[in-house]
Amino acid sequence: MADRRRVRIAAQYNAEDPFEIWHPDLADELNTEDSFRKVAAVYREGLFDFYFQAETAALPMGEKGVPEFRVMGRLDNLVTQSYLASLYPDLGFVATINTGNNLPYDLARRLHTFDILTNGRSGWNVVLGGNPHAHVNHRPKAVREKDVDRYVLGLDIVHYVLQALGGEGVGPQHGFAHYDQPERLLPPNRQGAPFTIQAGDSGHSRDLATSYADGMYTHYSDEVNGPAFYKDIHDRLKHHGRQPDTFKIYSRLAILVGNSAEDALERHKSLLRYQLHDRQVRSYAEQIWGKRFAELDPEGPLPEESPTEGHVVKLGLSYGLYLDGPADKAVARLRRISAERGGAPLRETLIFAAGTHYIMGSPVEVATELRRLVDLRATDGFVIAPHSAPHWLEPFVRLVVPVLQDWGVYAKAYHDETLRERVLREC
Amino acid sequence: MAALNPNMRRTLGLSVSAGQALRLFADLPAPLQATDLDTIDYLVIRDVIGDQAEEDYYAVLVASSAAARLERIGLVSEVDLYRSDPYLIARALTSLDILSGGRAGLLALGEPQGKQDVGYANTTLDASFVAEFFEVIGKLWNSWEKGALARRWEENLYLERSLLREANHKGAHFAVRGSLPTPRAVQDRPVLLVTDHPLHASVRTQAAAVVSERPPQQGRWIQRLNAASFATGAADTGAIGQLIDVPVTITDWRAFVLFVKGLTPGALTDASSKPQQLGELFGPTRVETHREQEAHHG
Repeated sequence: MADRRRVRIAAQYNAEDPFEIWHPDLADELNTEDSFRKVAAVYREGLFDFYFQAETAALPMGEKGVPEFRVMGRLDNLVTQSYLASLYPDLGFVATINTGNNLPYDLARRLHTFDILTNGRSGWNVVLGGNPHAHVNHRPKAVREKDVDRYVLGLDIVHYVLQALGGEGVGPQHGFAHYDQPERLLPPNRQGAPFTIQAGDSGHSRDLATSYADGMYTHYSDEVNGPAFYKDIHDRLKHHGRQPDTFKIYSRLAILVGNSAEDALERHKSLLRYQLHDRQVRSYAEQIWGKRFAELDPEGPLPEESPTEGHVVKLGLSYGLYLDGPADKAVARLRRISAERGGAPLRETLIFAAGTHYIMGSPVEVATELRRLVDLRATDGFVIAPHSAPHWLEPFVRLVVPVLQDWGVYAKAYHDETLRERVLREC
Repeated sequence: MAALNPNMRRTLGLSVSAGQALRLFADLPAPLQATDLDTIDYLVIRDVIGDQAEEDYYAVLVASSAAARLERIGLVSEVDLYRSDPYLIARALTSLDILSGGRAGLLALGEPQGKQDVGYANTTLDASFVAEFFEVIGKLWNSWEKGALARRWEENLYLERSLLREANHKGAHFAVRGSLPTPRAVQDRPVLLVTDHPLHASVRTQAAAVVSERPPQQGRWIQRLNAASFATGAADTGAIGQLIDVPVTITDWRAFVLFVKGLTPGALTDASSKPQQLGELFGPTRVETHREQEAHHG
């Protein structure tokens, strides 16, 4: 079939996902050699496009300090992935690195070696700017991010790195504002300029990403938000004079696979209480409604009360993508989701209402849904978040990947190719 | 120079450029086992800075790649402190220490190389810069106290924030709040090695060791020499150990194993007696960690 579209799969570890299960009886300790090695082995077995690893430039700070209730803390991603590339040389690796706390010279050097160590299968998930509070940890820069437009500075850094590694003429013309245009700094490596994807959601951010990057990483993957995002990105690519098929969108997604639909549902139900602790259910509900509740049953219905008038929800991106803003809208969203799921209780509703699209079912059901979203042009592929369970991707690799392979929409072997070539490869 | 403890065995390390290390270990079919490496204690991977050269290899990442392929031996990465951020270096070194099971160390680059103005506010280089860099690494090291990673489900407590230590460093070159975002390293102290370069003058007595050809005026001496001198018995018994440059003629892992097997260091014993952690080879680095800072000032 000529129009068969490939289903691209990548996965993240470790993510600091809000629903990542960390109960010691259910999950290995994170951030150990053993846990990284096991995860990479599963990704390798599943022939994923790449292993995606985020960074932490500073521990996040809540009102009382570092949040204590959820997974927190990460290793340096380039160090970890260089280690893993040595063990799993076929895998691709994408590391998130922000432009707020890294200098382009140092970054170019590290990404150059990273590409060599990954046999040309390295990628940079660009965050223009980043945690605005992280500067308290880092060596002072000549140009301070807080004094300038972080997008202008970030784009300077991106183009510096692209040109330092790929030579002049890589990417669009760029007028440097804060750095001198670099000479070609480093000897050629296999991939030249690094494969880049960019995270970010604002119109400005989308416009910048489509000007230079190889792809985007987004939270949008459902059938409503995905196609709108996809079309917007393709329009912007055309505006920049680029062919949309040279640019791929990867959507963050959570997946739970069972042997059957009933098995998946049963596993989902049994894991819910480990994804969101009773106390956390209360905490989120009170933040969303803007009031204290004398009694609140996580397994019961949503509170009947209205939210405090004028209250604004501020939960932050990975949790609050669809909830942040006026509380009455957030509560209306929760009520709708609960109703759509036959009166889902509070805890389950909170998990489904957050920013991570969550699909579950039998292997064929999951494969069908992934393919449907790709065929709908809601996205080109997925970055699976560690959301639902420890060892959460073993059933996916052993049960869903073979279905996708049977349909001819998934690779049956790795090719010796760069990450850019792998991502662009069609069926 | 500090007197050599007669009970301390003399260590043997190999020094290799990051580019050579890549070529040596790229085609290894499986990790080299401890028995293949039993004459040596650690590998220094030298940074290859390519401002004017044909090659550029970032040693920390090459060391991490090598760590997965070499069993039991220490991995010391040369780091250009002058053009680095101590927070990022502490994070990277801690990460490598975790992945390698306590085998990570750092050797500070001696002579500055290349253009120094790469975008930091302050590019003044003097001995106080290196001393303060070490001070910050010490304050950030293991800023997750034991028990900080609580994982106590009943209390909804993944992390115990009262056991996270901030560095709260304010100095002439750096202001660093902390904590590190990376959990506790395996080693209680960072393993920091220096050279006899004048910019390292203030940290020699604190460092785990001083790598130089001649005895330094201060600090524990690791004698750097070439393989031929070592073979002819030129090793100085006043040093706590020797660091031998791997000849550039050795270009694949088989030749490397033969070279390693051919080394016959007198005081060395077999692999089973090797310490588990790199720092045990040298004696402690004397940079103050956050806990000692608190005791000192508090």
